[in-house]
Amino acid sequence: MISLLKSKFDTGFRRTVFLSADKITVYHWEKGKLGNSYMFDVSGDGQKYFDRYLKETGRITTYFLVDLVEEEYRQDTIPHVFGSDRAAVINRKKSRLFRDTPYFHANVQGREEEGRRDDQVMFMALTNPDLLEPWINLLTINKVPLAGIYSVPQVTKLLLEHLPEPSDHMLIVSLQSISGLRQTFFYQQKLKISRLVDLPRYGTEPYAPIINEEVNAIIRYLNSLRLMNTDQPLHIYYMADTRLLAEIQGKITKNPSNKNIFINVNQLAHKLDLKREITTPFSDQILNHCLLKNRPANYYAQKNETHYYQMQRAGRAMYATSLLLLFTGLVWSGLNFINAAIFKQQAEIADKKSEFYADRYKVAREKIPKTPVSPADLEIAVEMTNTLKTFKTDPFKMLAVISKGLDQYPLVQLEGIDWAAAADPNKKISGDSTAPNTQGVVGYSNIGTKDTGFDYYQIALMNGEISPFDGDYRNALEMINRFAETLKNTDSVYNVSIVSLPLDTSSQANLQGTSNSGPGTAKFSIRIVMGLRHES
Amino acid sequence: MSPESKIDWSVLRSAIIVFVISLTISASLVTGTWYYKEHMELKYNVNKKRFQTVSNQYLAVDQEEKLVRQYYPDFINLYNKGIIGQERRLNWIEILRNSSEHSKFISLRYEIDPQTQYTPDFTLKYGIYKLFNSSMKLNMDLLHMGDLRKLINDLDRDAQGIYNITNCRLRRTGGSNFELEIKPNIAAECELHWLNIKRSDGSDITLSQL
Repeated sequence: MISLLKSKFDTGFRRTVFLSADKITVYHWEKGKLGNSYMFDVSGDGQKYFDRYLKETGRITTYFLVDLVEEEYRQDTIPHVFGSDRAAVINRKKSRLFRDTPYFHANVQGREEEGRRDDQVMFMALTNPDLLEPWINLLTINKVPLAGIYSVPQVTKLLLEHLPEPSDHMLIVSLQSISGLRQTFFYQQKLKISRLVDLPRYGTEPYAPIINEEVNAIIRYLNSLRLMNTDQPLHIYYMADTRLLAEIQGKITKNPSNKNIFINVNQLAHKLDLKREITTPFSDQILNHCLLKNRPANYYAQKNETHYYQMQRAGRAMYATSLLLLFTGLVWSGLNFINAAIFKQQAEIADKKSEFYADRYKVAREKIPKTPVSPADLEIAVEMTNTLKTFKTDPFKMLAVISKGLDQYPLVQLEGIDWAAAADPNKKISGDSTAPNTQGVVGYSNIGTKDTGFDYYQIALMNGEISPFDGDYRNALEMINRFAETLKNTDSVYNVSIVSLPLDTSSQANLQGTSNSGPGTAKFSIRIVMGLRHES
Repeated sequence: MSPESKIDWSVLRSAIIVFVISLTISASLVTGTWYYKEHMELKYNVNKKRFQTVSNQYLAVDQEEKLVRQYYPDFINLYNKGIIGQERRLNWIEILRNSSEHSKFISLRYEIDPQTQYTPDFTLKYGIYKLFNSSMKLNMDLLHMGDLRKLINDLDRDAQGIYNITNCRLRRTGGSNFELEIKPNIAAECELHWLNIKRSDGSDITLSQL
């Protein structure tokens, strides 16, 4: 039987392991509803079979449900603190209240109305861990992902919202086939107390008198604890099949402060979408269904016991990430491929158009003579030459200007001319003085780099002398100045400057001579700058 | 080591394998298609550029025809004159010799330097070309300035090439007028730049490409 199970279950399935003092039952969950169930004895053989079962069924997510007498509840208060402080306070309480068990849970249920408004905390614990540990160890050995350990009272809380006529005081009376009679009291939907009572084997004795007696006992206990507000009735929910409910109704002790509500477990199962008929008075299937359907957070399991569950979740996260990766990769690569196809199509279109125009260009180009360079470069070469021709110069225009000046001054004799053409009007030419103002003569000027309006310049340094010279320097200087002024007034002459005179009369110069000596010479030099403009 | 502190890889093995396979497949798909797309985009850009070039050429063919009609005769003329392509040094020397003989120069000495790349001091649009210069230095003994003008006129008229006179030095050297021997009155030193246009990549411009 067990050997056939493995093929029926995948990792996506889940199950409950329901433990009582005598039996352990496994319920499978498949396709959104309870599936098969399996029962084992709480014994050495039972553990062997359970181990074999676990090995055969593989690593199915497991929710461990217990219904044991050894579960205790303590209502207490702790200071209203948070985080690590609250954890420390709860741990101290745990050490004091439930020292010998690791299966402990604290549930903050509200705050005190008065005083320092401490937190009201329900401390719960499974006080005999030896009952659980063999089974939990088997789960760990078989690497079964354990989601959590829960008790029937905790799961019973999940039923409250499905019960009719909700009240502040709700006592749920249920029967579990493997554990017995469970009575759980809720105040304002908060678990306050629960009690488990063994029942005789089903069918051997009538259950109704026992139930009635136990219910009366717990009511008395509740009254003694003053857990209830006396102004409001206690709603007692009896969960059983039709026959037992009828028996209970017959035996029940009438009390005006209580309201008895009879819940048919089969009808409740339908309401909970259990999708199977319950023919017994027991609530095992309903509780396991609620646990597997709602999958509440863990209550009692230790961190090391849920290790494989955490690993399973990590594995599932990796599967999900893998799917996401694949999906993203497919979408991304799909977009790339679409873009590539578009580019390819456009490339082919551009290629065809290129060939079309290339053919027509070839035909059109054949009508034009072949040239060693491109037509645009033909133009550049011709324009370059035209520009070079534009800047072509010779010294004859300058010579004409000087000759015209000499005609007006017969005593001025020409000795030599140094001539150059340049774009810079200040360009030095051979024979030009490096210090033009040494004699402090008027008329020499640095033309500067300002926009003169000329494109090009001819520069000449004319060396001459006054001949014949009678020794009258004053007349000679005056003649040279007039000669320079005459040149300056000639068309296209941009600048004339006297570079040297026959006699340096500046204060900085050393001047020597004798008054009765011969006339000597009267040499001078003049720099002439002509500007040229090009018609564009 | 407690169970919670160690990772049981056997539990995660399948998930890890699936993850690695998924990652590999996704990465391969994305990388492959990305390279394919890049290749296609590059091809498209190349084809598009080629199309733009060809279409522009086609649209400009009328303009090209106009340019060829307008400038090609001048270009051929400049080529034949040695302004574009190879310079004509032999022609220059012949002109100098003929002019010297006809003008009866007392002396005319010339010196031509090797051709070098040249950048003039005015703005010039070069395009695919570079400008080269052969510097020619002339030393002349002249009877009068008319001799120099005649020489320049001969060069302007007959020389194959374009030149620019960049500087001249003229010195009066005249002696006594009573001497029977013909002596020079002017010593002239002039520097001419013979300008030449060539391709900037160094390849020859030859009309044999016609």
